[in-house]
Amino acid sequence: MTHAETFLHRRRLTWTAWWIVCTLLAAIAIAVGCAIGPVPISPLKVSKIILAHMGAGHWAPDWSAVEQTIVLKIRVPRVITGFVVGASLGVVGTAFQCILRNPLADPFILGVSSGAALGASIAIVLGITIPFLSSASLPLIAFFGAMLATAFIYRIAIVHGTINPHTLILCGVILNSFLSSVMMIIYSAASPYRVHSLLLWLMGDLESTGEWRAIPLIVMSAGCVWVSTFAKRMNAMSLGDEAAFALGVEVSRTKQAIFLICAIIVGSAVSMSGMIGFVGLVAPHLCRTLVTADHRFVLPASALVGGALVVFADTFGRWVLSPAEVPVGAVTALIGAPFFIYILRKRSKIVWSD
Amino acid sequence: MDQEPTGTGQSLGDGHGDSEEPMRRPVIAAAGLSFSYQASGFALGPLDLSLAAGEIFGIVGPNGAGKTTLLQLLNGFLRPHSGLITLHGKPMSVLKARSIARSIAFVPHQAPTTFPYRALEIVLMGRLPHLAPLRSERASDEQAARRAMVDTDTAHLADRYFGELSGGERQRVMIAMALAQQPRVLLLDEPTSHLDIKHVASVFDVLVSLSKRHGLAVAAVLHDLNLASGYCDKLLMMAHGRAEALGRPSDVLSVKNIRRVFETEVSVVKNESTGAPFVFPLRKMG
Repeated sequence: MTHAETFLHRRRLTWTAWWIVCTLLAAIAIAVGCAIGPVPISPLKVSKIILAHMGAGHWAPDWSAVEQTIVLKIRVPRVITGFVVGASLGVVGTAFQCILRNPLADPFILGVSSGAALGASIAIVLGITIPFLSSASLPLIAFFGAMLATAFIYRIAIVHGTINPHTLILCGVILNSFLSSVMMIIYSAASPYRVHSLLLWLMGDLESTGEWRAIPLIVMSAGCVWVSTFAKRMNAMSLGDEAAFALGVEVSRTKQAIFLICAIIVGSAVSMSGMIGFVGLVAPHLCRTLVTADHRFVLPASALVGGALVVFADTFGRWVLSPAEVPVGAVTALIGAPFFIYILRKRSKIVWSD
Repeated sequence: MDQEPTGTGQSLGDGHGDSEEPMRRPVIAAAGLSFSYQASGFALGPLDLSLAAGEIFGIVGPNGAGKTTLLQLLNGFLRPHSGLITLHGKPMSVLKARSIARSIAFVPHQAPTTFPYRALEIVLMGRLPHLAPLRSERASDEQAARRAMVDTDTAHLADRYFGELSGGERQRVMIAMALAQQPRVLLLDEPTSHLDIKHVASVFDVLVSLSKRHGLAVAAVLHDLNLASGYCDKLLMMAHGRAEALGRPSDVLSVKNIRRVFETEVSVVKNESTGAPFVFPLRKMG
């Protein structure tokens, strides 16, 4: 067996090639996302403005001060937020599908997101603001709701240090429906204007402003990197708890760690931008179906694909009914669902081989 | 031999190995092992047993006897409620999963096919306990995996998806994964239940050769009593979580034991070519 023929060598080439494809996809999404809007600015100009701002380029500015402000203060923050949120949803979707050993799991299945949504509903409907932190009060309250939900799931579903996927899913479904009925009660008592703005927020809103947003973005990025360090153990866990233990994985502790990190990531993501559906389901599937189920590939790849998908969807949503904005969550499902069905039909044998 | 269920069965190292092969030392030893599931009330033990290097140890018994539970205890996946299991003389309870995994490999009865891994990717997972954190496999790991696939006649399946393989092919891939782990002890839960007779023979030939040449200790839950008789050095016959008989196949597989444990009338004859007991059920006359 010569070096070039080994599976490991082929694998390295394949993975690298696909990572490059995913990175290009993400780069295109980011460039387009910065270029398109009420004031079109060419991607070239966008790159120049960004590079100049970072002190890397030495061009004579051929852009106006207004364009610079639009790119640096509005578009770039929004695109970065969208990308990190999408990447987080991709990573958490992959991780939840693995620990629940269920290909239909998504980041919202365990009810953490419903906790955040209820927190946000209360904050919007009652108009609560936290003193000195007014622009961050909605996300903070939403995140608090997410953590309460996480604590509840942890107490209920994690019995004797072992995590049973069925108990966990059941617990999430029950929590989701309980919390959404509480939300319905709040809606029915609230004024139509507030319900409307709440609904738009829930379906995905990347437009929040404020300097504080760097904090959740850093938390989410760090969380994603941390989850990726579990990749090999996640491969073993796909074979079942006993087989994973026999391969040296402390199964219960690993699952608990993954669950808690992911809960913090999802809590942050939903608090920042509402519930952007479908990305967490479709990104991991796409990567698995096209390349491999190995989590060392799937976790980074679905982060890139998820990020790109959200940025594309957000850009499309800003553009299609301009000046009105279609919520990004509505667009992700609109584009994602037909594409997902196409992939499934093409590769159904592999994805649904149970 | 017809051992009564006293709960303190004899050590497997005695009786058989002491005079013929004095170098055999137990790799895994269990003393006073007991366990129970709170929910169902099923209780196992107390059991005493030991597994020596180079030994093939069969666990037989009716459904629900606690055979799989025993394997999970020996693997450290379940913690015994009382009693002590030692691996190379060290109590299992102080060992981390990773250090256990460097010595013990386990082949589950069935592996889920939730995600689309290729067969070779699964076999390579057997190298996990030997990989440093955050490092990926090297060429030597691939060689170990490929060798294990040749040994289990699965080399031609390397690039196929695990989910599209037949039950028997999946079982052989899982055995290959366990062999790629290069363990000192191999635990198997009904490893040949989906295999045709050719692959039953080839899997057991590999196990026998690894155990005799490299001192691999093998413990397997088996449903086929004749397979147990033909390939095992020692047999444990269990019922209701207790040891009903323990010893050489020729002693354990008696008409009397099988009647008591399996509640089945059988005839046991000596296999002409091997001398091992051959068990077949008696037809009930109308």
